[in-house]
Amino acid sequence: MNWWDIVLIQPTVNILIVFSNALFQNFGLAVIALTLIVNGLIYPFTLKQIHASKAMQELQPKLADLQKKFAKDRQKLAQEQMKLYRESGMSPAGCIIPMLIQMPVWIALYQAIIKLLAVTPEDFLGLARYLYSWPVVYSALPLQNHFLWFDLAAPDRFMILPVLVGGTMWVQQKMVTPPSMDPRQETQSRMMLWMMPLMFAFFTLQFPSGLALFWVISSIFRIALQYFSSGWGGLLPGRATKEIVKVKKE
Amino acid sequence: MRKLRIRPGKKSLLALVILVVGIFVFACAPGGTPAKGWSGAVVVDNNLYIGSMAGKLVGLNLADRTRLWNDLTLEAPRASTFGCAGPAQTVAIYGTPAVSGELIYMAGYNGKVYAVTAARGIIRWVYPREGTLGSPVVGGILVAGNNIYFGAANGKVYALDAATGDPAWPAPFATGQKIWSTPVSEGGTLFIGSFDKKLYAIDAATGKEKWAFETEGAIATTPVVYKNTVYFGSFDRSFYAVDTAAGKLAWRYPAEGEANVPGSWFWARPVVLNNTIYAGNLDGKVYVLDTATGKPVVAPLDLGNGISSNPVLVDSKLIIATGNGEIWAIDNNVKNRIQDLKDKVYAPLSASGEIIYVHSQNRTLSAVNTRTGVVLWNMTLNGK
Repeated sequence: MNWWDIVLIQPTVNILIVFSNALFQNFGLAVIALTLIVNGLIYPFTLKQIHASKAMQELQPKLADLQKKFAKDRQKLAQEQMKLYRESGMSPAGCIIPMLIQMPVWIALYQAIIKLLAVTPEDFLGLARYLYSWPVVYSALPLQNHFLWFDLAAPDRFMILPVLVGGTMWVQQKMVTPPSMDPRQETQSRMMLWMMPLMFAFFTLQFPSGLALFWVISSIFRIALQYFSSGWGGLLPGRATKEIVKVKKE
Repeated sequence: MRKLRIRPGKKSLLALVILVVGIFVFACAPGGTPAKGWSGAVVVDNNLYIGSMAGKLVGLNLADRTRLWNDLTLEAPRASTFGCAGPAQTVAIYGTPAVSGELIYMAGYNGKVYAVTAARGIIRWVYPREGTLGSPVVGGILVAGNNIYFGAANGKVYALDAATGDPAWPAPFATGQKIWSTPVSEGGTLFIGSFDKKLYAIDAATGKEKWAFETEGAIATTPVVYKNTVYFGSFDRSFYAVDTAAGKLAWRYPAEGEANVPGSWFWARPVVLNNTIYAGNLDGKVYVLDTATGKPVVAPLDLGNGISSNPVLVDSKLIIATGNGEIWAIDNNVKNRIQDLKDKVYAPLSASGEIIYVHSQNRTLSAVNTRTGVVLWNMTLNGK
């Protein structure tokens, strides 16, 4: 095993098994519990990202003004933009760094779930080397794949999970997408708003439902976090537009 | 130095590209492995039959290694999205084919069982005739008397008339979890392990349960019967000897409080030789136990890599393949590495004379002389 497996995948796999054992032999509940705990642990980074995104959004009207004002002088534009960032006490990297820190955690959780679902015999055989020598780990396998109406190891044949994945991602995405006064920017934002939810909904048609469950719970957590930190955002466009106009006037 | 500038109009395009690439990296990150199969070979009258990783039944004449007939492709389900049929899928074959009389029996991951004529490679019958079992078949097929027996991942054990493919029992025997092991038969009783942690003894004639012995882990091992005792390993890292008549525990290794607890699951079929049982474990060790007492005869033989491939006996030597493709000979409890194929080996070994046939995960079939360790030939089974 490489360091990635030892440091991230192996502990996650074993914790999921222990959770499943503790939560009535239910792997679905284990996925939900671990997704919420991991979200809780990286909550400071997520919050930082939300705040950075919000601050960046609030700067957009001013940035657009600068772009208009210095359209012919690129060097001056860059200087003014940096000045604006400095004055507002933020950095464009503020949005990206927390996201980069979270990515390995998400990928590890994703891979651990895939490994535990062990759809094929090859996967199941490969799972053995990730197990700690705890008796509970050995006796709990194979995990119970049935949860609510779906088989966690197979795509949801009732098509409910793809709708839930797409729907929750859309809501979350909509909350962080500000209404724009610029029609071109508005079109681009709308495209981005639909792109990711549709792609993930499509993946849900092909991937094991355990992953879809992980995506839905993550989106719901982020919607809640987003709501408590900055309200409904772009989901209630009237209020958001008023805020933009207010910022522009300032 | 000229700075790279991204025009605002291109920003969203760049973000979109990053998003798409990110999603694909995320989606394709290592995790799920497609079902490839790990069928072993069976050798009858100098002909070899094997399920290839291209989803085909292959018949080879070992004299000149020519095909006996065109490879037989198993019927593949088509993946569909929004009601549109996707590309044809390859059917993984895990169970080693079984040969009896003029027929070859094999099962696929597509949940179907086939009887194929050995002479011409033509399907005689398919079970079920319409559709599938709704669940893959991973274990192999046992031919006993006029019937064939197999377990499926839906947790059921099936008995079919070997000649016609008609069910031989009023209903399949149901266990509580999936079955990946191959049944064995002794004195009219079938023995088969299930992922529900139990080893079942089933009346081969009626399909009724005789007894069930519960362990603390799932059972994927194909058991072995020797002197009225059935031997098998479990995922609870223990190896068991159970009386065939009543299903009572004879011994368990490791015994209560004993050191040397195996490091992982027992997956490979054990082998009995001279009142000694050899049980390979995924921890890379072979546990050598006395069949009567379960006491270790020698210290575990460490082969260095997980053992899931079923070993074979050749001239009183035990031949074992490890997961990384090393071939070992154990003679008088002394290990000797005779070959390194440098490829993953999960498929059961098969032997004919002093030659073993190894189906490795890169789709290669190799013939290895167990006396010299020399690879006599190898060929890729990609289908013809």
